[in-house]
Amino acid sequence: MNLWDNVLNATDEAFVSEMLEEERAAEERRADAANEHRTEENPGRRLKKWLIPAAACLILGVLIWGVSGGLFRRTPVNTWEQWNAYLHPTKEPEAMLAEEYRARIAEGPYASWLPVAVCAENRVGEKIGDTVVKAAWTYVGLDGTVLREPEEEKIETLRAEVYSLRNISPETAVCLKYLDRGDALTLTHYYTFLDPAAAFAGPAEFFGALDAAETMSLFYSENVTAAAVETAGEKDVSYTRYFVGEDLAAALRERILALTGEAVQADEQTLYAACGKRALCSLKFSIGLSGRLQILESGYLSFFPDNLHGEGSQTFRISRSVASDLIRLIEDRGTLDVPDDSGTVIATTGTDIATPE
Amino acid sequence: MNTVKSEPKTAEKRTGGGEILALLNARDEAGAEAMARLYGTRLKAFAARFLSDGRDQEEVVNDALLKAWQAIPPAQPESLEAFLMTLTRRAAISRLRRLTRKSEVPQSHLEAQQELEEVLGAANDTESEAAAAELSRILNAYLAGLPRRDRVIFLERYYGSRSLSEIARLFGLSRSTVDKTLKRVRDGLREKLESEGYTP
Repeated sequence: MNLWDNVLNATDEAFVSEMLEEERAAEERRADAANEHRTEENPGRRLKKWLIPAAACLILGVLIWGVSGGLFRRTPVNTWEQWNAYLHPTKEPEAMLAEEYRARIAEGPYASWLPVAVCAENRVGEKIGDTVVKAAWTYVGLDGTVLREPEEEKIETLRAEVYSLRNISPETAVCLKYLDRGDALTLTHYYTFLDPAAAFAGPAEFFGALDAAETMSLFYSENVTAAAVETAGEKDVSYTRYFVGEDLAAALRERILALTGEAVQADEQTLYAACGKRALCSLKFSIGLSGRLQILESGYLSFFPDNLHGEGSQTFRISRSVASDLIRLIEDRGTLDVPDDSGTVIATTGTDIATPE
Repeated sequence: MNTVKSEPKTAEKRTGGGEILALLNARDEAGAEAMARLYGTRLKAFAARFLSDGRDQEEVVNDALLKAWQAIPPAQPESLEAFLMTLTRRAAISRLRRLTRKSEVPQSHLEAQQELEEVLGAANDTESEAAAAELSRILNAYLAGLPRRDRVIFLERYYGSRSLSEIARLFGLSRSTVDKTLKRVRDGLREKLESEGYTP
């Protein structure tokens, strides 16, 4: 056993007491939420609760019978759609709700903007104003939607200074330094807020607005610079991960920043139609924004922020040839991820696939 | 986590800790029985985070209850439950030292230890008690300056030896949030220790 065991044995009992209080409060809140959910149910909902599984079983039965008996001709399915649902489930059975600390600017030009994360201090510009933020622990679903508004007395009102970000327009992003301490906020950091509704004419405008040449880096999961290339078959998607060395990362970054194209409002059907392959990696901006970048062989590039509560995604049409070139660049110059224990390349298919982090 | 702080004494009142303290102060054995009845299960669950064997868990809980009976009075803990937790943890750690096989130690405790060792090397208990006491002073001062939420998550992980998933489920946070919070707090602790002359 190590020294830390002794050190922790002398933890101030007031802190232990506080921990026990929080445990008890968390258990009570979960019980309250569960009760609330139960009492909200009405007879109609209870009926639905039984009818939906029954209808699902019936439909499933008919489908199995139909497919096996040749009632239907097999129609092509959107394997990307299924794959995306598998990789990014909207809910998981273990925890249907979560409690997140949510902060919103109360009024003024940034009232609808959302916080992303802490901004690197060297990106902070001049002070441009003052504002007030309302913040509270809030019950949200795993897709980020607010399930229950916090009680008024639990909402913190925090004064904050507004700063611009270096080389970024205050119409795109600003950062806040709090003058009052929130329960999950410090007085020393700068917190970036973005306009989730911001629209950009093309990828160049998007990356330019975020000063990506200075702020953006590629990664895959924590501390790993890699990219995945996924190939859609008729019924499944195969997945291969490539480690990206410094040279390739620089080349990819340069080409992504130089992309031209136009913004589109495209649904999944459009994006994935005639899309055999896509490449995925993550982008991190030192101003605090991060998210998933996907390059579709069908000629699109999408960015999905992972800390804007499901908002703020951007999709651009780039040419098919440019998208294919980018994917090929990763395949040709990336290093295949070979697991230590098997000596085989991760390139499985179907539900046994090793999912990316 | 709630932003409204609850006073420990309120919790004690709710759990009956105040009445038990009164009985213990009067040296009434009914107090010892009530203490075991009210806190025994929770303490055993707490001990299970350090010891896999059920008999070991029961023994350390009995040790803790006995020590509490012997200590009160004169000791007058603000929170009887926190006092018992501390005694249980000490007994469990003491028992852990006698275990010879690593497989007998729950994985989450080993992982938590490893994470803290990275903050200040794998110092072992052959180092002096004075060193531990000095580190405790620094740690408590550091914890006092943290936001309540960060402090509780840190204690759940390293004092309570809970796994990241358990903490996430308990407080309705994502595992990644817990992980990032702990990393930030450990980094801060490392800086604090370095400023006090400790090097990893």
